[in-house]
Amino acid sequence: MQDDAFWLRLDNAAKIYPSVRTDELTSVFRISVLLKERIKAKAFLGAIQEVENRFPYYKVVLKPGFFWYYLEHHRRPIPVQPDLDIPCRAFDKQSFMFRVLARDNRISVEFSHILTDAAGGFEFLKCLLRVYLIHCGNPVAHNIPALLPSDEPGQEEYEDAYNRYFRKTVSPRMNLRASFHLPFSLNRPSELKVLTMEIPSDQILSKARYCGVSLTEYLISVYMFLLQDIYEELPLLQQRTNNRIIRIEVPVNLRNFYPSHSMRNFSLYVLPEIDMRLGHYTFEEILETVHYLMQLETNKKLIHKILSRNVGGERNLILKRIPLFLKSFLFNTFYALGTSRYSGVVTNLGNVKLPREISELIDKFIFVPPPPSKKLKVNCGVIGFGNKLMLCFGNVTSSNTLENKFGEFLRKEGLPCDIHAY
Amino acid sequence: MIYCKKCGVELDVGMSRCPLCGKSVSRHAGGTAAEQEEDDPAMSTGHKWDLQRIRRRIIQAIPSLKRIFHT
Repeated sequence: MQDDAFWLRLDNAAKIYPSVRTDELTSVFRISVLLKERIKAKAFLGAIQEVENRFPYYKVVLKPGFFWYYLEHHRRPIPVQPDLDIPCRAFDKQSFMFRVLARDNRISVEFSHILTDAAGGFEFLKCLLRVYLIHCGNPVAHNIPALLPSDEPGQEEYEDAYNRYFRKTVSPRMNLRASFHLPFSLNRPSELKVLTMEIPSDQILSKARYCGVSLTEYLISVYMFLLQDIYEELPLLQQRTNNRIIRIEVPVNLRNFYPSHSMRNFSLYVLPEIDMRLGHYTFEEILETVHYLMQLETNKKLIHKILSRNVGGERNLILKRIPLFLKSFLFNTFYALGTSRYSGVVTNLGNVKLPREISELIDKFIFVPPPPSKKLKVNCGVIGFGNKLMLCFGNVTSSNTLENKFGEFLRKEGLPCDIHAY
Repeated sequence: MIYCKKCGVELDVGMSRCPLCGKSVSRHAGGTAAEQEEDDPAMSTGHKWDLQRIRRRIIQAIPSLKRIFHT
């Protein structure tokens, strides 16, 4: 597979994206690292050159087949650009589906979900960062735990891990009711606005621990509580016509459950929810509900059930034999149905752990989630480094109400937070 | 230190152009910063994106103009 010319099937999670992606719904996410010093152009380009052949499975172009899309390897250089435009823009049809960007003291990588998930993209960024810092004359960068450009990419890095860990099991279809969506009007012309929120990690962590939940559960609870708040502020008639379930999509990195080294997509979603038909939820009640639902849904057996259901759908004999143009139509319908089932997305990439001497060179990391759909309108990416927890809100509406409420809520809870435009 | 005024990356002393955004550079009297002089048409992706964004906005505005001025 490591030969010059190869092609890859799309992995299970990627299969839907080519059919639903548009200039606005790009399915492109970004991970940025902000250094304490300006990016040195020569060292940066040197580092790009050095990692050029380390990730051949990303140097692919999307091609339509008769039944499925597939990825075709090309020997072009990694696309490098100055970071001057809005984040997470769509890729041209014939181009690679990732790019590396730099501006001032910031290095960013953008990947389409067709190629990989945030965990895969982050491995690429870590490798690039390591090589860049070495090129800048920082020998301590050798301590960054990352893939080495000199190593041959392993066979496992190419693989569709969903199929590897698929076992046929009982996995009935889920019938979820449609959920509440933010009532704000969309940006005209449609453009992604990105706001970042910086919170001291130690303070928010101790707050979450005090509440007896994890950091992700705490943030999901705040998000749900504020969505409930927005719902309750609506005029009565609008409240009645809206769906009254608040459900948040939370991606789970399956590499934490299965010993996979796949550099492609390998994540699933769990969907904690509250049902507002049962009455108003206090924040404490939401915390409790989210905590137990998350514990339950991230059980390995249940995760395996979701994995089996997803892969089982792909292996369906009828679906397999439907031509691509019909599949695309079906996928579009499924996707629209899927997004109507949840009210928001909170995706936590986790806490970045690097040796202390490296931390002195890095200010923070930022994770920009893919632009939300017109139905979803806002989503939130989370990443922590050192004592900085960075929340990043992608928003396609003309309102910043949710972000402002988020900031206000955290401040009321005694957590200082700085809000900035990205 | 010399840096590109457009994309803000640090440049080496001998560089006549920013290798990232393609802006040609010349040193200020103080020799601390680089300034833009002219575009390299092959490299100025930033400029191209600006034009693309304007074009996209115009195209997006056309349906609403039609709606407004329909007879």
